[in-house]
Amino acid sequence: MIEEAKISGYQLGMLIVGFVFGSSVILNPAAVAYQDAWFAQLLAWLGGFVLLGLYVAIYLLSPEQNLIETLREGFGKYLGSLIGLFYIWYFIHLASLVFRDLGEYMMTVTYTETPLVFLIISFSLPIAYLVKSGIEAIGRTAEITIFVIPISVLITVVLLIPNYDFNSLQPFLEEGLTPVLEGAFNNLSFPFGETVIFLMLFPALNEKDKLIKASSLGLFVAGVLLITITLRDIMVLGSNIFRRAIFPAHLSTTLLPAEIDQLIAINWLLGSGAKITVCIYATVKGLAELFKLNSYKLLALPTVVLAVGLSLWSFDDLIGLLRWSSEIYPYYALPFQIVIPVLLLIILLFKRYLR
Amino acid sequence: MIILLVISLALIIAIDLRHLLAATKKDIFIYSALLVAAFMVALAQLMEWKLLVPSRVIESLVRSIIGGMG
Repeated sequence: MIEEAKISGYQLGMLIVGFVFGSSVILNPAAVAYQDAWFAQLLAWLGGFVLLGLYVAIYLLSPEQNLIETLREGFGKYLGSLIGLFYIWYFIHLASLVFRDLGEYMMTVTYTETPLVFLIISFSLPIAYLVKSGIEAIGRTAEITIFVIPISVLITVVLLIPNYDFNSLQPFLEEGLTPVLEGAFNNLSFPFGETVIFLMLFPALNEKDKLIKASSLGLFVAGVLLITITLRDIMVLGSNIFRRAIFPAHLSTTLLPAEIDQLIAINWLLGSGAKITVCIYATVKGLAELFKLNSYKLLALPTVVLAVGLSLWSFDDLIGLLRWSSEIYPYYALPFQIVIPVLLLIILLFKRYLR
Repeated sequence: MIILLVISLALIIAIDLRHLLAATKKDIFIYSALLVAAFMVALAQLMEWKLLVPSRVIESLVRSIIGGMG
């Protein structure tokens, strides 16, 4: 299925920034490394470039095809479709996890008296509308909203300068490399490895020659922002509070004058919005491809409803969500982000050059 | 609550009605399957059925695989 609507390289880059920034701005998966979390994040970021290179290579070996089509080409019609179905599950499940992250944050920090279900449903409606409007609308929305993220990060980083304690970054590698590698592994799977979803969006790019540049720049900007935020939070809170806080980014900005901490909520809404939109788009696009439907837009609303339902059903509370995200998610995501793409690349290379 | 759920699903169908009338049988089938899945998940949430919660199923799968690998 060739994508008719198109997005520009700039829009793709912005979508990658928003997607990677997404929930990781609030829940820092590298925090297990205490004061070395920035280093863990740096390693994960470098690993993220390797993974993005893998995904781009897969796309370039079968241009104009989305992930489902490429899986069918690589693994055959039946096995490829089955793996495609698992990927569709992964995308909708990822959307439900981000919905829940978002709802829990809003309920804990901003709307303490509002029911979780109301917050999530309120947020889901514009996303359903956006996906229904098509990939062009998604791209344009990213173009005009995501640039707010770096600006608000810059504002908080500058305003918090008086609170910085550079000694909080020391001693470097106090506990050795193990916690750093653990943090890097967590961070690689969430969010850098999740960029595998962009294999569903690459065919919509109108300037194919800008694919590598746009996606690398997007990942570069997102990585710089995440490492900056981690350094800021460690220096403001100290490594112990940084490790123990559920939302360290929010906690450090509470030191700022009133209402400025809402910049974090704005970042969170924009980043998560971009991430969930991409997840839902990939789900409906994948379903339309798998079952050879005429249009994916019809499926947007029921898919969003299903994601909202899953987000509410999956976890009893915030603690359960955090425990699952840190202990189980990296292993659960491993086949989708690394194992299957590596196998797919080997098969595609074999089919193209060695046969 | 279940009545509320049914009304919500009817509302969703009403929103999509214009597109549904122009859709093919296969489109409608997949659309209905998604709606039924959404209804079942919402019902499971309301009734607090915890047996097939995806996060728990995935957790036990991951733990058994990691345990199996030693």
